[in-house]
Amino acid sequence: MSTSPIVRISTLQVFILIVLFEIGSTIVVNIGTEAKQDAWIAILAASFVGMAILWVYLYILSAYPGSHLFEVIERTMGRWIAYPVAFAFVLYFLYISSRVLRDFLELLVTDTFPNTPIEILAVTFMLVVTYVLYLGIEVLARTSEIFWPYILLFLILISLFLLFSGKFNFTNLRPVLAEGIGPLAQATFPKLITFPYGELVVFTTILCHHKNLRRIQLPAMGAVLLSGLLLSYHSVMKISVLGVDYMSRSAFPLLNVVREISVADFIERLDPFVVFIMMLGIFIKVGLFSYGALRGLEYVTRLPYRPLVFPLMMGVALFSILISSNYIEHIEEGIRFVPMYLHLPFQYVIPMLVMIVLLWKNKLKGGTPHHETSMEATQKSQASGE
Amino acid sequence: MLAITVLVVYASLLILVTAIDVALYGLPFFTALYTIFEVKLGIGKHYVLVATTSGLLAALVSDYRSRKTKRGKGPKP
Repeated sequence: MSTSPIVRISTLQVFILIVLFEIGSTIVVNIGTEAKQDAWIAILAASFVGMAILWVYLYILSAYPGSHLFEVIERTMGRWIAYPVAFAFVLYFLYISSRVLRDFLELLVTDTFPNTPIEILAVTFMLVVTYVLYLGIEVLARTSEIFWPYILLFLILISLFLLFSGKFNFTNLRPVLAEGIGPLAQATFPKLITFPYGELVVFTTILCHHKNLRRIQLPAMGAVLLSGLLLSYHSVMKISVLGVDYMSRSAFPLLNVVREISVADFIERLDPFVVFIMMLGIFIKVGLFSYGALRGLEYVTRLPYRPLVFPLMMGVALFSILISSNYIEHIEEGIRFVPMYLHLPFQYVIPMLVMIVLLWKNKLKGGTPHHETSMEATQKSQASGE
Repeated sequence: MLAITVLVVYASLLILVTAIDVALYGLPFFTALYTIFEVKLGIGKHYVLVATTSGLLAALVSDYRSRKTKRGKGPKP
């Protein structure tokens, strides 16, 4: 159905993409602050919700192997519903792409390039994303595969240096669950389950490039769990080094944590580590969201997506500036509007509806699962000469 | 077709961003739209506008080339 040539990504690439996508911007910014010192528990709890929603996405995709979300919607609900929904997803993905880019731009302007106009940074960053997306999703996957060890190394080094600096103060983590599970629930719903876990919805446009969906179920779940553990560990690190008050007031707590590192008055100012981690994470995240949008547009217009890459990516650069006049407004929109009115419908409501329709259709067919096996799909595609 | 698609996406995104401002701050729609262009695009506005316009031009060129190919090479396969 798709106008793209056949592209394939491996199981390892899917695993790495999911982990980098999840920890991308999340590891640097503040999440779960409503739960105060129990933020790490809230993150861990939300990761289980993340695994559940990923299972829903995989269930939807496995109904028609080789098809992405929009094609599944078309097959289950018809073209007249699929087209508007796909276009709405295109706008959603582009908007979130702009928001994610803005997160990174604010970090750069605050820390690394204080005298450079934010617009220049936006355009140059998006030129790189344009180039990679023009080459295809395989290139993005391979890029993440290459940079993955560096991210792990930097995360381990930050932890080790903090340990040697003697900055961990684990009393900041106490009392545990002092106010019950109320603040935990408040932090988890709807914020943590939507950012970062619900954002996995973009993988419904990407996982169809894998040969066998069944084979990636376990690695994909493992990737969400690993990212949950990593995020939870870094939340512990931020709270124990900075304390709850300082952390909740900081825009980029990991940056503040890294500034505390001082080993033998020699190893100091490791801010570039954080900038690198965030740069790669944002690169993957913006790339995947943009790719999702391009696939949606390809589906709606039946045009190949490559000629659309440059114009749309420049649009993302423009809208990363237009969405808010300053960082406070950007965060305000991210807290008050986006989770409830954008994330929840696109990440949970629509996929759940699709799953319910699929289940209902299966039931009408006599209770036998409608799902084609991947082998059947492969045989069909071979028979049709694809 | 490409240029129209790009324009439709830009316009829809602009409406979305404006609608979010309307919902959050209770501004009238056109006031919110005016605010976006007057306030949010600061000193570097020409950079992003140049980039966006070049994106649109690229779409137009791509449209033109595909049309030329179709005319020059006979019927569509």
